[in-house]
Amino acid sequence: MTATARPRAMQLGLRIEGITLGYNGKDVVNGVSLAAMPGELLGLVGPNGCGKSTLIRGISHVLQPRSGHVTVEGKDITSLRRQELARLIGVVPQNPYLPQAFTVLELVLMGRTPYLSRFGSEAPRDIKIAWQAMETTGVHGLAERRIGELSGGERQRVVVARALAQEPKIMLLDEPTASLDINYQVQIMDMVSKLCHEHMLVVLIALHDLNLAAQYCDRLLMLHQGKIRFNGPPASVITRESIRSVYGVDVYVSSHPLNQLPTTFVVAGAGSSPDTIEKV
Amino acid sequence: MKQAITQSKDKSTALAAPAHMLRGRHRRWAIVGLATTLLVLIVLTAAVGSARISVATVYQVLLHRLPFMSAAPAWTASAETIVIDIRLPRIVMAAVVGASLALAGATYQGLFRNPLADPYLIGVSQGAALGAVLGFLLPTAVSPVGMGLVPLTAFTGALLAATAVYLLAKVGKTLPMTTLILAGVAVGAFFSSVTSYLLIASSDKFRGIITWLVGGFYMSNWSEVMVLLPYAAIGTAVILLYSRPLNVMQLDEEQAQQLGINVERVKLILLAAATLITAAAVSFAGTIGFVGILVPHAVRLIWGPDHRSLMPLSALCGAIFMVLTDALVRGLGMLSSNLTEIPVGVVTAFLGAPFFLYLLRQRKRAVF
Repeated sequence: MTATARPRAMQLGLRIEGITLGYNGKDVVNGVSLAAMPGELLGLVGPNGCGKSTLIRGISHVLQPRSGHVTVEGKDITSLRRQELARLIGVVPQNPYLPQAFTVLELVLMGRTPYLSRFGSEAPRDIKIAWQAMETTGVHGLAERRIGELSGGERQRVVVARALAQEPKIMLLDEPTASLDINYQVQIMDMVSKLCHEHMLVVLIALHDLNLAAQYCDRLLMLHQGKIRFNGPPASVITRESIRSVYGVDVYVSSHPLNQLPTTFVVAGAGSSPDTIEKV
Repeated sequence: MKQAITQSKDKSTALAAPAHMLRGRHRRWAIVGLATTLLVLIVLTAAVGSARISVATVYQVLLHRLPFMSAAPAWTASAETIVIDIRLPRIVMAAVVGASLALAGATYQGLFRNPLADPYLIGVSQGAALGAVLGFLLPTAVSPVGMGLVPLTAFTGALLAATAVYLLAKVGKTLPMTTLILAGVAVGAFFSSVTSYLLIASSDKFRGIITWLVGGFYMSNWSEVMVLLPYAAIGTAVILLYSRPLNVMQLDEEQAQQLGINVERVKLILLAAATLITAAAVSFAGTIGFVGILVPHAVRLIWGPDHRSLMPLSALCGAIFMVLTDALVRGLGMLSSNLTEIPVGVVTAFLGAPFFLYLLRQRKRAVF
């Protein structure tokens, strides 16, 4: 009765209710709640150790929440088998370990794992889906190259292709642009944004670059000490006050000259004396 | 013209059937080729040994054994006995043991994500040996049924060693090369010392166990082969069935879970299967080292890291390698009648140890 009576929109996307989790009894994420709809690009920002990666681990259920619920498409993730969950959620981890001797195609095909029976092997359909994912992320030209021969940006796009091959409803990305050059950063973010809005995926992306987050995300969540401190469109989250209170540093925030999105400027010397910006 | 180019380009992307890019596509032919090679080698090497029997005779004796092929025997009864009851079981034993050890090595390497894991180097063989010796010393070991228990006691010992090494070598979530080998050497030495003590303390009639322990096939007979086969078959089947999940587990455990693999369960099942076939092999052939590292490494170099190729091809190459090594040992025995036969384990260590050191030094090319 409840399931059918509820508006359909309630069941779509990702819903997190009061999730608390951490390591060795120490809570890193503390009572986080959020909801995200298909086609929404949600950015997760906050200083190192604020719980971004831990939250992503909790949603993908590689870490068991101590309390709270995560529901995907109306289903509680704890009630799903690993295989079922992997059809709903694709993850691009931070600095994932990849076996060097596998080829790009072989690695992307691993994304089809949740659709194969334990002893079965990939059908032409699986190869087709993997290939489409590789075309989407522009790595199809590298199909036969070994992982060990790729650049950082190429590796990252291969991992995104693998997550796409899972045909997920939700994609979780943990700092996919970290340690990449600016051209790759823009390339990856353009791709993620396109995927999110064209394939109507829920995308939750942890970023440490506030400007990148403000440029691309529909909504931002600023985490601090395991809690959501600010939640809203980039202009309301990226402010001088929020950054001062969460990061403990004084920055200058202005709007982007081309699209008016909030842009953060650092000022040399502002880390030690809070009134540097006033002096300037 | 321009239109034609765009059209053909669109067509090529749409039709881009990348099936030809999958390295596994040659797997079937490699398996058939190696299996045929193995069968031919079994016949050929049956002609090698102290009694001179030609390949032609071996072939005729074998053909004669097939149904509806009863030609008049043109060979002596002793030649037939030597081929059928002495050499053939020994060769088959060598093949099964070689396949088991190579497969166990490939499985441990995949599970530990460490190319240097070998049943002997990580102490599992020594654990199995201690278990087997305890099984031999049991009063029940005199009957054939009692012999059937030896693989089980060996399995217990091997499982203890594998668990100990795994727990000792684990640093956080990873199993680094150095700690794995160190823990393996330490655990192996510990189990070996207990085995040595048991052998010295036991009465004279168990002295034969020492020659068994160094590794060899010259006491093999059909009833031993029949006891070994079911264990080897079960373990092999499980490993072959789980080779695709093992591919995904070459990523870290978190990624494997996020791709839908129940990592803990697959790990447990594969560890048990690899340990079972190691224990079964050690029970009948003693501790033969380095096969589990030599063979899978060579297979990976040629056919790539996909476990769906690596597993069956390692098993076949392991069998071929062991059949050839054992034939070499018998061939050397032919040269001089008073020369004691060299145990096979000595030969594999002689070939394998330098190779192991080479691998340890040369870590530039990614084959894993």
